[in-house]
Amino acid sequence: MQSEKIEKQGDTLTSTPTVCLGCYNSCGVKVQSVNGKVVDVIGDKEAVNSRGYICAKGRARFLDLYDPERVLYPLKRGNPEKGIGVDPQWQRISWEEAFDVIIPKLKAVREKDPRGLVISHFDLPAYGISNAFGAAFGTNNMTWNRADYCGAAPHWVHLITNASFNGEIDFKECKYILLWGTQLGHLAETIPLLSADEMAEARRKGAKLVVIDPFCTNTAAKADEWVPIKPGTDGAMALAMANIMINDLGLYDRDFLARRTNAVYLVKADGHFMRDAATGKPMVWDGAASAPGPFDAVDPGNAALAGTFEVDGETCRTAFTALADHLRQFDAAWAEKITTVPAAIMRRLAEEFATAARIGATVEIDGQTLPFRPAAVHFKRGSGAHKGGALSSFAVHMLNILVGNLDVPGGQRGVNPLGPFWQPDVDDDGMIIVAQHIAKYFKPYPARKATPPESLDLHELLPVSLFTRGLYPLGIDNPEKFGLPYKPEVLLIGRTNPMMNSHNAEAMGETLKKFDLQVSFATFIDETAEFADIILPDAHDFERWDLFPANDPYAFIAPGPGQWYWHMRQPSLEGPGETRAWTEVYIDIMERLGLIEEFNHAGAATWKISEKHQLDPGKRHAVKDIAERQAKTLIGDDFTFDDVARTSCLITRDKTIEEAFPGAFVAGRLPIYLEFLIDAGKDLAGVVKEMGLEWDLRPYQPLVTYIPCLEHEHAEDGYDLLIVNFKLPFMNQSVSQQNIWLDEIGRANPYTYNVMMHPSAAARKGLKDGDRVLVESHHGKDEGTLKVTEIVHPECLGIPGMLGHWARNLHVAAKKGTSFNTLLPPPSIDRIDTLSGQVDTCARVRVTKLS
Amino acid sequence: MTHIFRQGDVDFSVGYKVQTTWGFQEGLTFVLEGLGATLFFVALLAGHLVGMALGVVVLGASGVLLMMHLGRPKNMIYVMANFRHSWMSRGAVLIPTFIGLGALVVVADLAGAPLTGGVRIAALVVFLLLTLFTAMKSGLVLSTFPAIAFWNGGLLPVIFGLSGLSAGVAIFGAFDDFVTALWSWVGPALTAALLVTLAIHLITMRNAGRAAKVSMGLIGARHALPFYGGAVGVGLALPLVLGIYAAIVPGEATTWLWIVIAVARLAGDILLRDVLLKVGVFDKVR
Amino acid sequence: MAKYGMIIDLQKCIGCNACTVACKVEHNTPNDIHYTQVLEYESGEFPNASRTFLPTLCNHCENPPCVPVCPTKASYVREDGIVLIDHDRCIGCGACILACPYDQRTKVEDERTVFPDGLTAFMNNAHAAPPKGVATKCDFCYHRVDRGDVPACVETCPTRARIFGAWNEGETPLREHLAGHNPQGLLPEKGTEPNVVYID
Ligand SMILES: Nc1nc2c(c(=O)[nH]1)N[C@H]1C(S)=C(S)[C@@H](COP(=O)(O)OP(=O)(O)OC[C@H]3O[C@@H](n4cnc5c(=O)[nH]c(N)nc54)[C@H](O)[C@@H]3O)O[C@H]1N2
Ligand SMILES: Nc1nc2c(c(=O)[nH]1)N[C@H]1C(S)=C(S)[C@@H](COP(=O)(O)OP(=O)(O)OC[C@H]3O[C@@H](n4cnc5c(=O)[nH]c(N)nc54)[C@H](O)[C@@H]3O)O[C@H]1N2
Ligand code: SF4
Ligand code: SF4
Ligand code: SF4
Ligand code: SF4
Ligand code: SF4
Ligand SMILES: [Mo]
Repeated sequence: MQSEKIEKQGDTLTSTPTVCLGCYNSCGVKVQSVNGKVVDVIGDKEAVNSRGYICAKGRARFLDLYDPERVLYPLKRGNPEKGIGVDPQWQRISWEEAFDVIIPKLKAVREKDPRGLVISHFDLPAYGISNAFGAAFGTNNMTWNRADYCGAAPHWVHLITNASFNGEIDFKECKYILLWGTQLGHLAETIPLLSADEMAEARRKGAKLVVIDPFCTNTAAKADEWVPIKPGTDGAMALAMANIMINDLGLYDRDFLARRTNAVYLVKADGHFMRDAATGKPMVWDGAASAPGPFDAVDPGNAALAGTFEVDGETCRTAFTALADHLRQFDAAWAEKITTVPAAIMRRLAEEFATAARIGATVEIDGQTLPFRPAAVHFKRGSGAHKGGALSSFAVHMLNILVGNLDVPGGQRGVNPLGPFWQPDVDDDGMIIVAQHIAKYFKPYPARKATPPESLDLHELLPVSLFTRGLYPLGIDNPEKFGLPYKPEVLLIGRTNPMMNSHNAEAMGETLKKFDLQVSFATFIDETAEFADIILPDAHDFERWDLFPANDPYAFIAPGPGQWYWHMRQPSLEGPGETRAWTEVYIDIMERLGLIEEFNHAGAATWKISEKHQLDPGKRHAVKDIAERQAKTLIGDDFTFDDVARTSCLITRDKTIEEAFPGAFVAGRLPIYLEFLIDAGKDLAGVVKEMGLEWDLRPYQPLVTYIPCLEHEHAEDGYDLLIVNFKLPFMNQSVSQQNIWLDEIGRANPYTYNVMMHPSAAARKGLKDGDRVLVESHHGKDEGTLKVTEIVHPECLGIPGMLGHWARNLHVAAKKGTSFNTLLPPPSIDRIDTLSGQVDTCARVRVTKLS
Repeated sequence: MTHIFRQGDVDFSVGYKVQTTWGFQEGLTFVLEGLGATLFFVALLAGHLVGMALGVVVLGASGVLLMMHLGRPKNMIYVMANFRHSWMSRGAVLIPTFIGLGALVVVADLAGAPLTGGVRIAALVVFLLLTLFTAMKSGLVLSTFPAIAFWNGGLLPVIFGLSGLSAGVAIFGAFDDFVTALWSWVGPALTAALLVTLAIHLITMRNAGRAAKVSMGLIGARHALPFYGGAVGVGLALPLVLGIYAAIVPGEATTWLWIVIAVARLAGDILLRDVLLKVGVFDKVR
Repeated sequence: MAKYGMIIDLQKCIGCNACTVACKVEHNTPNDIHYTQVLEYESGEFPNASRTFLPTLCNHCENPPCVPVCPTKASYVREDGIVLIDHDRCIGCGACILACPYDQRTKVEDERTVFPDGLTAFMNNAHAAPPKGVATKCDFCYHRVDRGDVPACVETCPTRARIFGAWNEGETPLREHLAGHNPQGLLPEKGTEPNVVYID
């Protein structure tokens, strides 16, 4: 017999259902342990969002629990000097000693100006705690995290159109799938296990997959057609395709545009809507009556979609005609020059897509007739993380809007715009407004009033953004420039690694040094924690409770038909050493600052606890206790923890057809004409002028346009390749390289720890496969190993993942791969998308051989 | 450009892989097997006690080397128990048998009772068979691996066998310059046969599939010097020429000449096996 | 007697390597030893270039060349066709490693499974790890199959690219999944008759 693989005599396997936080996606898993030691993590078959599957990262990550480099005790910095490569000389201290440093400083800051406290975590289910903490403390600087290079721009688009934070595709019915700068359905993006399964099944059943991406990623590898594009030029291609669909092919969903968008609204020469004198409502042209009328007084069937009309002596065009006219300048030949994508391909894709959408088709579901549009585009970080990110993403989404596939069977869909206790609003202009429960952060529409900044993320200067977390370094580095009346002093940070995830590390290091006190909650001493003054040992998510549910519907409950399900995160073991969940420590700090009442009060605003289960205002409640009350509110009074003993997934009910396909039911319209940007821009122009700031107001116009990236232009200085970055299905951001199993795959996989260059570029530079090279941008440099390959755009250098660690303690991860981010400069106005706050990731590099 | 990986590289790329399971040490084991067996047999034939003893010792050394390469030598018992299962297990029984019997003959000789008459004839037959087997065994093992096209042919056992036999004969010649006319032709004959077989093998391998072609490429490039210069030039051509010379003009054959031939053949044997092992290439799986 | 096999749907596989990790966890394989590998190859020239993911594992060949070369009979075929290695018998000679055309066997030179500093928190696991010195490979998760489960890699695969079963038995015999496809084993010219087949 082969070696026995049986449970050891007398040992039993304990299985704890919980929710994985390997990436933000909240899959249902079961943590398996023997004698208190975790031996495996498997998928939970009863979890609706993962069906028993689990990804490489999720399955491997229990190793992190026992990594010898794990932080087990509070540590204090011994060396006052901070910097990359500087030994912090950590000294072990007690929790009391740590609090003795933290509490007095926080008290002093709060007295002086509480906004001097900055809070930074990338830990979605626990934002409820950190936000309540921040509100109770009195700081508005409590959301510095990932967004720099994440999805600020694509989210922006989904918020104003789908009334949702995220987007997705109905893979079950879709027959023509366009993935544009995203790896949805291929083990990245949202609800990855479910979408991978459904995407694969769709491919099997013959759906066509087109992937627009400068690099042939795992996703593009699965495509029927990979369309390589020059980075940051997506807006140009999308505008050209929209132009073809409207002006050449006349393929668009007239009915959808008339009913569900503002395409029929009449636009005056000044760009504003023609409004009804009495009601102030936008007017449309009633084709039946041959007269104008307020949009809600005219039968959409009669509203003219296209045309120029005289109203009150003014010449107006419909928004649709304005768009059609405007798009004519973006012809395919123009776009080809910018994007490097042949015009013929754009034309073909536009026609294929619009045809596959089957405009006009319907489907019968539950006795209701719904539009059926089996073609959809999804877009994310790739097309979005650029200078003109919001408008480029909007241009891409325009293709969806034109075929009317939003939130209907077969089409593109927002993630749960409508749910058991939320629904989008409609304003007086008839426009849709996302429900706050789904928006989570600021709503881009209607625009806020611009004011001089009060916050370090400068969001006051981005009045239609949802968040501007990428701009924190700008505010922290230059408080005077932006007229901020205070200085950042204390940073509480954990589970996010700005030294690696954003821009040049040296520059980020300088930003971190601005703080008098940096407290890092850490499981590992990563590059950011190396700058800390105090390190507090954090619990792994297998060792902690979280607010309920651990899967927010705005991103982590599958959209479309199915069920409502809510996940409970629960610990499967005690943390080692003196580790404690940071969320509990936050509540400790509140207690020590005497702010529990304020904390409970602030929490009550977001925790959604019913009257009956309200907290005792003056009492300290543990996270588990709060979660239980939340669960009782959502699930019912009879909820007990026994209900989550077998699976962490609690199903409440089936989705209604309205919830499954809101596109056919919700009333609000979405914009194809962004009228609100005119006033927002004017308002903003006044503020920045007064402040004497240089600002980019170009995107503040109602018709979507293309704004190139700063580094697109090829200077004759040898910096001739644009870097491009993509996620790896078996790596989670900067976390998983320390995991020896994932590192093994990283070393084995040819496209992980290498940088990829096309043979033509390599030949030009005299480089060959396997060469060690120096990769330099104008902003930073790193080393790499070259892989010469046909699967990358000839004008690009492919740099995967978030690699190239240098923290002293990350022995496994250190020096593996190349850091993309350190090649990027800190945010500056010419690299920020001033609508969404997204930061541009385009940079040119020079690659030379290292001897 | 064909990228060739090494077996054991942590690389998930589809490609040709050069085997790394058996290397110099295993090659040397095979050398010692062929050498020891042949030496013993030839010495037995010539009635040369030191030669026989040396043969047994060399064969014993091959066994030690083999054990050193095994991951779990303590399980050797299972090999013995499955005598008929594979060429390796056959070898694992027959070679120790050779060593045992050979030692017995040596001890008997030392004790003043050398083999004579019918017993000697019978022993010669038995040892001839054992020698042929031992010399060819490693080649037989390699030729049964369908995975490696370059080895997977009928000629490999012959090549390995001839290489061992000719090296053994050459070495014996170095310390007992037996000069009968017939004998002096045995060495060159074996060497020539080896050269011819090797040439035929290489020619057939040029058309034995893509992996074999890659092996040939490796011989022609990475291993060209040790192969053509070492194994073929110094190891085969030189002893062949010198051997023929010694056979034609026996008077000129000094001990030094025999030593040069022996050393060249030994080096040739080692290099030949080493290169042939190192160019074992697994095919691309797709 | 059931005869087991696996179908790998190359159309579905996205190269996520979840199977690779699942197999590692299930078997405590030592560092850098993988019983399954998601191989890749490139084809075509830019812009018509692509990558193909090719998950590989022991093919549990019908005619396994690794078995007859084994001097100890440590390599053997179970009645249900699963090709196994008895680690208690193996001498680690490497013959089977050279015999397998698919490079699916590895010799365990360093049996430690986790951290290089010798901390082996996972050695004391629910499953035993292969000991030092032996040859090792995919065992078709026979311990799971015997209790009626599918192999770890199959259970984990998020795209259901791996289908496991008995060719001619069970609710849906594996053979039925081949309808309409042109199944192909790797390196058919080697005559091994793989029980792992691929559909495109
Ligand atoms: N395995 C894994 N899954 C994850 C994560 C992870 O780290 N690992 N992280 C999670 C997080 S935080 C997020 S936000 C999501 C992100 O999910 P996605 O946005 O879907 O994932 P990315 O790989 O970042 O997608 C960017 C893609 O755009 C391409 N690209 C880059 N620049 C351009 C460009 O200018 N134009 C075009 N058209 N394409 C471009 C890249 O090559 C890449 O394929 O994934 C989540 N899921
Ligand atoms: N090159 C490149 N850059 C990117 C991206 C990319 O794909 N490529 N993606 C962008 C996107 S979409 C995002 S969202 C951001 C994400 O960037 P980050 O917010 O920095 O996210 P992570 O890399 O996941 O960093 C998590 C850090 O938390 C630590 N950590 C892990 N688990 C725990 C824990 O349980 N407790 C504590 N206290 N710490 C823990 C890890 O050591 C790691 O250093 O990066 C952005 N930047
Ligand atoms: S996708 Fe993310 S949340 Fe789901 S199992 Fe993988 S790492 Fe965990
Ligand atoms: S888990 Fe499935 S999809 Fe992922 S690499 Fe393995 S076989 Fe392919
Ligand atoms: S794949 Fe290799 S190891 Fe597996 S049975 Fe076939 S020959 Fe033997
Ligand atoms: S290594 Fe083990 S299993 Fe392989 S042939 Fe040798 S004894 Fe048999
Ligand atoms: S069947 Fe089992 S042993 Fe074989 S590759 Fe899959 S998980 Fe690994
Ligand atoms: Mo992200």
